[in-house]
Amino acid sequence: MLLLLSSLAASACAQSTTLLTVTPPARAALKRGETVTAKVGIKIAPGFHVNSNAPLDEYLIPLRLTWQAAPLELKDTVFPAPKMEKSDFSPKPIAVFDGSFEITSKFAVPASAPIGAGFVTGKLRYQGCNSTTCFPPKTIDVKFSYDLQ
Amino acid sequence: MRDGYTKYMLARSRALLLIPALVALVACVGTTKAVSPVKPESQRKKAPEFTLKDSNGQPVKLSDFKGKVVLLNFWATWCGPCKVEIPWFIDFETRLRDKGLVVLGVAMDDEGWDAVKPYITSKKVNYRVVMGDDLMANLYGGVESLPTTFVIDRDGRIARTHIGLVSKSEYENDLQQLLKQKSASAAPFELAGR
Repeated sequence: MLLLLSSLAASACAQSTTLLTVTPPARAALKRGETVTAKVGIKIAPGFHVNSNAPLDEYLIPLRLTWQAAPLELKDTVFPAPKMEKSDFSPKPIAVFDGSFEITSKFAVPASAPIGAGFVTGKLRYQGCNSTTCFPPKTIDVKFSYDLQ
Repeated sequence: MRDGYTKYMLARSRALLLIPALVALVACVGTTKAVSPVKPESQRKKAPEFTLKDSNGQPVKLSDFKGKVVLLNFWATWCGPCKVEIPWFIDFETRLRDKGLVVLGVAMDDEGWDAVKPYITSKKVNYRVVMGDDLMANLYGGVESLPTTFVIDRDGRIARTHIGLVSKSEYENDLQQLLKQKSASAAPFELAGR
């Protein structure tokens, strides 16, 4: 029930732009010394794509999720496998994301982390297009809220 | 009751009547998407004047090209569809420059010339490129997506705006129409404040 409520609350905090909707990670209950997984949900508008974190063309702007992790410690951020898409402008396919997907970040909770409610903030930078048009790169803030017991 | 010859003649007439219809059908199917004309002169609005710098730091003003047809293309190195158009614009600049065309690229990369110079060098871009910014985008009605291209007539008026990738033939059609038109007056470009 608590999980469901957290997930509903996260959905309520979703941010939307013309190109995508970002759902921040659900609020988490943490304990010192453990590792926690935070999932950022992304839904791309139909017909559009964003470049993957490794788009395979030096001029394309990759998808990035960076965290100001303190007092937690960022261990890792994992992107899903991209979709390979043929384009008219590059001899090689480009790696993109479309539809709905999640970016997963893992945080360690240090023994020194202060007890109580807290949050860390991330920045999601993306650049997206459809087959005929592209939107300029944009950065939006993502918040991961938690209660450290 | 009709005899055999009459039946043959009737069938032949019907077949002959079908020919024009078939020709029209084939013509429709065989033609690519109909190309729209540029705006009538009476509906064209003045293109806002601007001053931006090219890759050598030289100022470039729209009014420098008075009497020319200008293809003003907003683009960026990160924009895939823009890259499809660039070889077309190189071709236009080569073929149509002597007829009075100027192709002018407005690069919208946040990283500036560090990103744009290597790209235009590697792609052998033969037309002038200037560095754009938000002010320039706003001046042209808030360019929100790329590519966005304004086709400007010899009198500095916007004859056509293309948002997104269109076909090369569509540009070719615009340019050929405008290049045929003579400058109506020596009217100066509108001086829009920046």
